[in-house]
Amino acid sequence: MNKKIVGALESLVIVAIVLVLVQTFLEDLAVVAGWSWTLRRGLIISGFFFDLFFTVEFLSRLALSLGRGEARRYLIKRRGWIDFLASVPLLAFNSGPTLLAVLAGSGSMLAAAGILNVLKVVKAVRIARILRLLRILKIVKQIKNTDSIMAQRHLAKIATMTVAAIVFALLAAAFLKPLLGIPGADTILERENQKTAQGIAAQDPGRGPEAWREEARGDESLLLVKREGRTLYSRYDNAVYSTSYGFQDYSVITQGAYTFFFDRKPVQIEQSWGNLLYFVLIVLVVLTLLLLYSPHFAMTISDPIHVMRRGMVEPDYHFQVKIQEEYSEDDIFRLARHYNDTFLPMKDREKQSREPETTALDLNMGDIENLLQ
Amino acid sequence: MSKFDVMEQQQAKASLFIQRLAANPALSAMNGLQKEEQILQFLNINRRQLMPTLTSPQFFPRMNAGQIWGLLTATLLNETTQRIVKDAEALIWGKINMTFLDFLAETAEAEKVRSALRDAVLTILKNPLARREFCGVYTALINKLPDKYIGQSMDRKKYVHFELIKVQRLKLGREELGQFIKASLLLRALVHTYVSTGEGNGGGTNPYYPSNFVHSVSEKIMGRYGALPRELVRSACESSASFAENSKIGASARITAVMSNLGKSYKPQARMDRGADTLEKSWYNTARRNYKFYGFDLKMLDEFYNIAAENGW
Repeated sequence: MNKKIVGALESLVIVAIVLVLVQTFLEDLAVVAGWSWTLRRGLIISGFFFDLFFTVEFLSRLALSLGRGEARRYLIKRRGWIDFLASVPLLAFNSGPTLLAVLAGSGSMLAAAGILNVLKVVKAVRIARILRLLRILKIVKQIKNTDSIMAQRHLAKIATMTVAAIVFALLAAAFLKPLLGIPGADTILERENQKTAQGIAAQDPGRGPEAWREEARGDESLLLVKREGRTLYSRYDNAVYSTSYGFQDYSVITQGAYTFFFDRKPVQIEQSWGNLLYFVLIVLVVLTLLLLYSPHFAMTISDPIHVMRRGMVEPDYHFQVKIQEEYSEDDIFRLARHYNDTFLPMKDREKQSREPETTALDLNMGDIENLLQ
Repeated sequence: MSKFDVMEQQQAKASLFIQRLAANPALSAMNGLQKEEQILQFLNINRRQLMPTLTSPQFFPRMNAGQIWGLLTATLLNETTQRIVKDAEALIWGKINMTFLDFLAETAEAEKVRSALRDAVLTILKNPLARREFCGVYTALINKLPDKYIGQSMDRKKYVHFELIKVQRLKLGREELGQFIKASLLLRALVHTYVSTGEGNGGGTNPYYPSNFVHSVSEKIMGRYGALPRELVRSACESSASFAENSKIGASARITAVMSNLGKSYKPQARMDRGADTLEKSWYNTARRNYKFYGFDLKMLDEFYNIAAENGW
């Protein structure tokens, strides 16, 4: 493929990675900050398209590497597994079902509950969103702190291992919690809502609005009560529900002739707050590696090697390695001392002994092509 | 077209070719003599590839390879010489103010000294070995290396100051000392014009000459350029001898030797990699390890090394 097209596609992927990280952050921030449902829905839909884009990207790369017989190399050495984890599962279990729920509307989805309780599936795989953070590793690869391939590889490897360890620990914790019988905030809320619903259903259906308000004070999550399609109680106006409540923000419990709507926003906010913390944690870890560790690696390992390599290869390169006093006993700087005090002087004497033959030539035939035309 | 017109046309073409080569961005940060060295080497290495084009009708159709080669090198040397002489004159009549002459034991007329220095530079530029040596001198002078180190050494009042003032007994101020060293540098390469191949320093591969040879050359120079003060000529000539072999060499000669050699490696345009020490500090450290080989004064190098390190040079 044309190099320019490949370059443009790679740049597009990088831009998409940066944007999806911003989108992921905003999606959770929107919940915590109580942004309108219209805005949050827009962010959910954009998340689906990002996941679709990255799934297509992964499948294309996989197909190309399969064609070249390099699929194993792509998946393992070139971190194709990150491409996979940060695209296909998210599309299949998170943004895909979520988009379906958004497009169909909560009522229709509830009707389809017999086939698949989409809301529950979406809830269960919400944790998969953490995998999006793995995409940050794709950017790490692009940041060139130094010309050294070794430095880039080391940094990418450390960042990959650290971020992957954090993400998998969080995923494991999320999946192990129900297996170990540890109730989450949503389970506790669900139980309480169930109790409320049962209690109300057992009482006199002919109560007046005052009695309902009194009942609602006992459970702040109770939003709406309907009986055979007729609204008996509503905490807010319909306008508030349509602007502020999405399908993920409430749960529905049917108890006899009653249908109860409960507010799930506190649980949503709690989960989004956790997600934001993970996001900030991973971004900070990566930034620390990039901004603090990477220069340290360059200063104490790759830069001295680079200087010594140039000194050994280029006839007119006479710079000595700057020995860092506090690391002067490191192997690399002990080697550098030999380079400074033995190799460079020897090279200089050797150069003197063969003068006036040659100095390094900065001019080549390519430089004067125009002169000869 | 007359033969003269053809020659003139060929000369103009050669001149244009050389000027365009010299204007190449790869050489932009180099001085005239460094460019000359690069272009000569480039022409030498690529002679075979260049000749088919250069002998084509577009360039020099009536000349053979040898003639073209001769024309191009002569043009290159001529154009460089013109530029260097202009720079040297600007130095001699401008930047070196000759006030140091008033403090030397011998009386000398500033204008005559200036003319003698100019003649010496012209002589140097005519001799290939001396011309090559002058490249380091020229680089040191246009990059003001003596000013940097003499000023700092005088302020420190350590080894270099002691050697210049107390041992060599140069009763010169900071400013005059700088001028004296510059004049000494201008004359330094003159020694090489008295060397025939294989004589003195083994054909140019040894970094210094034997003291007795230097002494005899010094006398010859005194005879030829009578206007020059003895102290200045001795400083310039002794800079080509080894301090390790002759500890009586004056401090000004030792400084001249160091500055000239630093000038040879001096490339202000060189990109300093992260993780590398500065150019001058690197050079002084290498020179300290090779002080016997080059005949340098180790203590002087130590002081200059510290100056370079402290100033980030």
